Amino acid sequence: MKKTLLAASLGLIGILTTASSPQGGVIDVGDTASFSFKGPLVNGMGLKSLGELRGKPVLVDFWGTR
Amino acid sequence: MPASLKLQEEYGDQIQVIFVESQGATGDAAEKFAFQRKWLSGHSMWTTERPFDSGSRGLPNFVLLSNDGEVLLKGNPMAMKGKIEDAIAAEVRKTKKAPADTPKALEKAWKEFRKGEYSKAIAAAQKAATKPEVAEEATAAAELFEARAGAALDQVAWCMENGYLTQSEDRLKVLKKSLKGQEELLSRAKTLDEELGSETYEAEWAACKALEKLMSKVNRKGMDDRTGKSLEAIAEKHPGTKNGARAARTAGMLS
Repeated sequence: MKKTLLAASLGLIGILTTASSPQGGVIDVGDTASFSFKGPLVNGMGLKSLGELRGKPVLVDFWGTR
Repeated sequence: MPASLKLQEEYGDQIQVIFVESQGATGDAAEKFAFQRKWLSGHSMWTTERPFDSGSRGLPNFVLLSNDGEVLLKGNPMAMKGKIEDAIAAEVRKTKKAPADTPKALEKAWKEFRKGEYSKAIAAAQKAATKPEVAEEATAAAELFEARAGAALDQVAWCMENGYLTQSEDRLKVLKKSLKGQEELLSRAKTLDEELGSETYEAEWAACKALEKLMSKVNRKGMDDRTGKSLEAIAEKHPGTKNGARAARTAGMLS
């Protein structure tokens, strides 16, 4: 039973874990973010970089499809 | 996810939410996933390109950037919902003011810029640049405002090239007003506007209006059995247009 629960827990962790790492190191509070997108964003209307959004707060929400 | 979508809806274009699929899905798969859950209809942007590493291995997680691009908060959005809401409200309040430490002589220029009044902002910064004590900072501000106005026009050009004609028209209307007095930039806005109303865009406009009408209905009433066929019909009726191609692609996401 315990083994089953452990396997289920590990499976869940797997589901909730992100895939490959992006470029650069870990960003922290106080750091300034800059990034140029290689391709278009859905609903991006031509946005090419985070810098173009200066002047408004940006909430970057990391999510998963699995 | 729903909380971030709600924030985008509540604040409109005063904030920007960017959803980053982080489990290795392709762009098409992530878009289809979000489309089928009716998450794509608002202003939120979607990508599979991770702009930075938040340091968290669990999902969902978030990073909140200030008006100046600085990381204000990061972590689990569900655990920090109240903090995120408070921080966004505070940042939105700040957008009406000049940045901290702005010299008094430049405050007016920044306030105009924050309102989207590019011409007034540039003029105010240029006027401030005549004062030796802030000349360097004011010149840099004027250059920044000009660059941002140019970038706004670049975005309109991109929208036109990609068939987002209503958005282009709306943006140009605002830009033409805010660029009065900046002849070079205004001339570029007028050229884009003329192009948008020219024969070159006739077929794209027809496709754009057909697709917008259908998607407006879908957003109001939801998808039904005929949605896919209606999308395919738009694609067939408007070949060679960006909106026709978009209709075909959207039809593909329904299956």
